[in-house]
Amino acid sequence: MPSRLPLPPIDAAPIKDVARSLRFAVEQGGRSLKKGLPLEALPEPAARLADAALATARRLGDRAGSLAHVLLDGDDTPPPLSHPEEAEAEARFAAAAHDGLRAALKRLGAESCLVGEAAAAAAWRRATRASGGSDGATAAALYLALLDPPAIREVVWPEGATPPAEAGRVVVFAVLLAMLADPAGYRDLIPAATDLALALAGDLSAADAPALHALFDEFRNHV
Amino acid sequence: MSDAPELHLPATSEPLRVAIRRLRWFRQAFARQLDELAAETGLSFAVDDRRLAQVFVAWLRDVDAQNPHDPGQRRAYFDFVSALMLRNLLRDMPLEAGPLPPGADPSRAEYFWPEGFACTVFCLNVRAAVLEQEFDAETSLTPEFFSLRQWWSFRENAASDPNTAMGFFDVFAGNNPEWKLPDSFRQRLNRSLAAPEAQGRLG
Repeated sequence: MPSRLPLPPIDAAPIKDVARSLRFAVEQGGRSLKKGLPLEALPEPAARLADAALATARRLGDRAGSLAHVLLDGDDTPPPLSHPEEAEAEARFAAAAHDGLRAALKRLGAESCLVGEAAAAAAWRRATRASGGSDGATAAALYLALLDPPAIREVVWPEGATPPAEAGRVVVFAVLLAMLADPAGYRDLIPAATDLALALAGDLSAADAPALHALFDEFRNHV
Repeated sequence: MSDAPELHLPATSEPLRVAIRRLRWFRQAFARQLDELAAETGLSFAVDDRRLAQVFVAWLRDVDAQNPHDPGQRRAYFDFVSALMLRNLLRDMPLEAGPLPPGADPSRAEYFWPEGFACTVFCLNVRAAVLEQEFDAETSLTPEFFSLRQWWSFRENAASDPNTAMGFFDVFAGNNPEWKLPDSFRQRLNRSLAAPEAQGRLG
């Protein structure tokens, strides 16, 4: 029996992104339906139909969420930014950046959000190819790459709330600062890193790569 | 209150002078001070985490900007940066006290100015802990700390010029206060060089 060739590893990030996008769209659609439809005032059978449509949307969202969850396997700690050549560094960074950005946006008060894991992976490829220096320089390159094109695709803020200025820059800086401070424990650092980044929003608004590198070095030991 | 409220600092494997410059530990220590003060006095406090982070960032930058990098000035610098922390906390006040508990005596400093009192004891307690760890030095509070008259003046002055908080901090800690340019470490050094008798208290 001829031996089978090993299958190439599957890039799960785009599949997870699709599942998450679907879930996000369904959740947003459900919210809009609820806001726009006066369900209590609808006559039968319209009320029953609207209820059924909402229930279907919820089920679809749950299934998409389950699919994304099934695909979340492997090492979920980011690689040290000083060693971008580590095994599966790109996928680990992308998954960690996705989770970190969501957590940081939640810390800022976002109701829900959609973050592209494939976009984070692409940012990793561009940044690590370009930086080639210290982990602070890599963090600065990643910061710029995660913002352009933006890895954060949608953010929903509570109705009537004013989103913090520079929210995108703040959360991207926060996640990278947490990774620099402690890659293994970066999740626990996200709240403090986000508050630090928010306090530095003024510095972030016009910072170029050297200024970002200096900011990362200034605050990495103070999270 | 006959003694200053204590502070049981959060555990850390690092020297306190390092831990206090990490936002997570700093926040935990501040929250613990408020909890212990609340348990002792019946006061309650709400902390604005974002504002506290801003205070912390501004303080870090102040500390770095004036660091003399001179081993001979370490003790004096610890005193200075403790006072600087109090100045920044009072300037940007990240906490708000709830209503006074029933029966609170407003002639006592903690009820006369709960927010200012909480920030002051926090800075005094952290300073005491760092000095004990770094220099095996015991610290104590001066009688002025227990004088409402001092607190009344402290509150009035700090409201119009937060830098004066540093002078009051020195008074409470038993250091020679610098009123002219309290937020300049260089000025303190110059003065202590000009008046050697004050150096014992500063250094």
